[in-house]
Amino acid sequence: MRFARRAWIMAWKDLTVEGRSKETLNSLFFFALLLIFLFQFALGPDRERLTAALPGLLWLGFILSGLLGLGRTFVGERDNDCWDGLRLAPGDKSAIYVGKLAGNLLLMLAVETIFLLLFELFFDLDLVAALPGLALVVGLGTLGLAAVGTLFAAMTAHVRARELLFPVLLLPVEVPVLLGTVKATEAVLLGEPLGAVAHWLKLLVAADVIYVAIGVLTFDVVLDG
Amino acid sequence: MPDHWGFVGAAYGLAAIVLGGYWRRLVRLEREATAARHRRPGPPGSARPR
Amino acid sequence: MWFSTADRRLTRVLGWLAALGLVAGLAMGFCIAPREVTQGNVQRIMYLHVPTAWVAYLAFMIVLVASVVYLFTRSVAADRLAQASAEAGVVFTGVTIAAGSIWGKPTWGIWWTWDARLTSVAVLFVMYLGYLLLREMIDDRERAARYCAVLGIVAALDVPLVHLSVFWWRTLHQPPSVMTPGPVSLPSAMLAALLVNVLAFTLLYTYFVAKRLSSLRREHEAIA
Repeated sequence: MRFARRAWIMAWKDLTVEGRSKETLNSLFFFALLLIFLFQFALGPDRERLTAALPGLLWLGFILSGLLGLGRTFVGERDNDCWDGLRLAPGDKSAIYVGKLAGNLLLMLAVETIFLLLFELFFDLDLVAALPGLALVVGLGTLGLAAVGTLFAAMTAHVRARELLFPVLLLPVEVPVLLGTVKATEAVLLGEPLGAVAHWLKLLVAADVIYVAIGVLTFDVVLDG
Repeated sequence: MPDHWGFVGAAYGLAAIVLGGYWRRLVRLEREATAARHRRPGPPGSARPR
Repeated sequence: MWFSTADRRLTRVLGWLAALGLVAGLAMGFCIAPREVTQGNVQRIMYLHVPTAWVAYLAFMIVLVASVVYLFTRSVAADRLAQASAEAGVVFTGVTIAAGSIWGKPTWGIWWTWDARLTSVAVLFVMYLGYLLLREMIDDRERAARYCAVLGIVAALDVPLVHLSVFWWRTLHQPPSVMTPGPVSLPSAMLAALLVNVLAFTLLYTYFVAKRLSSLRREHEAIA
């Protein structure tokens, strides 16, 4: 399957570049650390307040890191004059989108894992019990973020005020994902069965399907020229 | 329950200002665009009375 | 050059029809429609708030259709329609939010509440402001058209998701809001007033779009 191979090459290229420099991963790791401090200072030492706000804080952290990480998706291509290389690549351009999406997904999941570990450490929480449900919710939510984020990153790569426009465009679109994931995470952390939030999970799945479909269908329009 | 006519007036008044303001902007844009078209010389072969 | 005198005349007729409709709407809303039992006369804001909300959604559906048409045909006219409709949509959405907020203050006691409807409309507002911003920030006309078409489609398809998520988010917290102006429960005089206003504001929207289209067309001809 040539499509899958092209997507794989794209993802492999990004992961290799990132693996060598670890630029983005390191920066996001420190950013995650700083956010933990910020949350602590903003909410004070009261553990009750922190535990109550935990699902929201988690996703705030994921989204803020996502904004930084996703926004940079095409910076490498733009700065190194590779954009035309992408444009002129033979075959279905959406393979590039899928490859970029896969790379972004892995990057974000790595950062989110670090976040969860830091939360466990600094706020003395036990997330292990909730892990399977948490993994599902985090996976669905991250896909939703990355799917639109990768598309918008390509769109804003050549636009003035890119760093400002990217969050402004992405955040309102992601409202359903934010609401769904926070609600579902809340339930999972409270130990409730996933069935209790089945409607939220279905919403997330629907959103993911729609976002990825739009990305695949419109990526070559965004790339063209 | 009291009628709060002030609020009713505020809502309709604000709507009138915003919609009216946008309408004025549209009129201005059209005027500017028409002027720009007339200032610009036509394609070769199109005569314009001077 | 197809924007002839006929089109200019049509636009003018639309303008007068809209003005007539708005006057009729005001008459219906303030004279024909009765005083509401629970809320009193402040409820008359509904004849402004609901029609502008309706028009906002109509405008963004037009943006969706025009965006899809543009992606398939690359017709510049479709792009112009998307831009004109998005602008008008943002204006009407702003009015909807302001009117809703002003209605809410005496009714609920606060200027803003995270009511499902208001929140959804606020998200819609920001999405389409982003659309206009994107257009502003891209200099290349053709690229702006393409990118905005994609954004227009993403935003429009997101709207039902936003609605559903905000509704669930809201109703699982607190009981549903008091304000439920559904046509089903309205007495016929109120319903009539509402419909007249909906028609009037739709005419106003159409007039706005027609006027914006004409200036966009001339701008293009000036640059081309």
